Amino acid sequence: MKQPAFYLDMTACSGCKTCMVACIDGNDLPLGVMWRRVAEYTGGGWVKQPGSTYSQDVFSYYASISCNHCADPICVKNCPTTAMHKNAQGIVLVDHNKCVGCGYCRWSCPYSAPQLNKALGKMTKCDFCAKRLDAGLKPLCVQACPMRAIHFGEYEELKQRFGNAPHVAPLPEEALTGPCLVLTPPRNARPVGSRQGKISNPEEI
Amino acid sequence: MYTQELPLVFFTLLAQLAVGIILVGQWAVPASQRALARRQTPAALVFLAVAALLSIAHTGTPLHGPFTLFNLGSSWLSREIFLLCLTGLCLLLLAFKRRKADAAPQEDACALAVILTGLLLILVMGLVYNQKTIPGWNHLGVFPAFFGAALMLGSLWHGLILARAKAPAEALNGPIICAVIGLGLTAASLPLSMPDMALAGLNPATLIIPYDCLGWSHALHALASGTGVCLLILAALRARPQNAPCPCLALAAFVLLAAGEIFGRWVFYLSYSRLGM
Repeated sequence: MKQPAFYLDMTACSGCKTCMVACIDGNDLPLGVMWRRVAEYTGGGWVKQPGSTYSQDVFSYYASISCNHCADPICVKNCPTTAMHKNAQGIVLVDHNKCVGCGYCRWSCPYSAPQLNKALGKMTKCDFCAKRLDAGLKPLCVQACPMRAIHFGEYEELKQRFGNAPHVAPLPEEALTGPCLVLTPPRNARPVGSRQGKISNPEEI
Repeated sequence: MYTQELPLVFFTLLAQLAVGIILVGQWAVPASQRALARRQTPAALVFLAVAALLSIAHTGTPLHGPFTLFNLGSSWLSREIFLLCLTGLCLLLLAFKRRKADAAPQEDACALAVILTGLLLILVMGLVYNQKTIPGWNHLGVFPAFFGAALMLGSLWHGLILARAKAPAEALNGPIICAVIGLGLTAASLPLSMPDMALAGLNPATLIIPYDCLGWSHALHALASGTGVCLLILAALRARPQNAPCPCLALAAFVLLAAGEIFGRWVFYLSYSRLGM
């Protein structure tokens, strides 16, 4: 596989967070460390219509995001120890033999992908469930999703299969890091940088 | 209370204080008081050493510290750590040269090396925080704030030392000019430090301080630091040119400035927010 990637069908995602739970449980992550997070993006309100009537344009959708193993990963660029690296398979990994646990990668990643494991004193992150991949299994989040909203595959193949839709709010500009993430935006999706909505579950991500 | 980044608050300020002490001592303290200024070199060395220890304490695996020099090619943090080591080595050499009362050969060249590497260190410190994905820190205000802090802290440190040594008030002229320049830089940094509200508001998940509070916090920082500098000016004005300024006023000036800068730097770390999720 040239560049592994996730595909997220935002039209199917119901925000149940089973992917998050499966990731935490399967990787035995400590409290507060979440390699996959589900942001709930909501907005809208009453809109005045001609003739003194009102209609509503309320919207809400979910973005289940983990590390996107970016083409131009800012975490790799910023890591002072070179512990954060992109391997030959296109997976961004942390070398725990080098990581100093400074958290600079966490500061700069626009997807909050690297997370500090305080017990280890090192940064940790999604590796596409590398051990499962070696065993011919799918990543835990893909396997667990009851809506079949998350897929795993080769980035270019996923783009050909599902299209190359631009990313939507609350995700950042793709040009920042070149995320390898294919998605199908929901009907009411707002463009990147939109101020029409906000993440309504900040305490959960 | 958000205390996660407190080691970094003190790391940046102590490193800037150390550079400020050498810079102001070398160029702003009059020749008649140069012996006193030279004796501050060990203090600057101690401050820089404590700063380095705090930066190490902030990491999860301090024993992997030497690896932080591996990515000088692309990581500003790696470059910052390299410059911290370089400044520390130059400062150590300067302290060694200044261990005797008489000026040692190449002492001025060594002091110049400390000042240049120190100023470069402060510049790179700013670049560590200037990240396109962090709107709260991605502004030009970081640089004048860091240089201003170095100038003010170094000046008021020398103001305090000169006042305690009962040096004439006119000896404070140089440090006061430096402190006022530092205050000007800090004042210039504050409007630049107000991050783009639109960008910052995009991601409430990463907001630590409400943006409504940011303006007031900056004003409080400026008030404390400004009052500190004014107190040193007052101490110099109250004493006649040949009399010594009141050491209590100079001490109050330094304490107030230090409190203002600690608060300001803490607010700087609180203004972190991330684009995206």
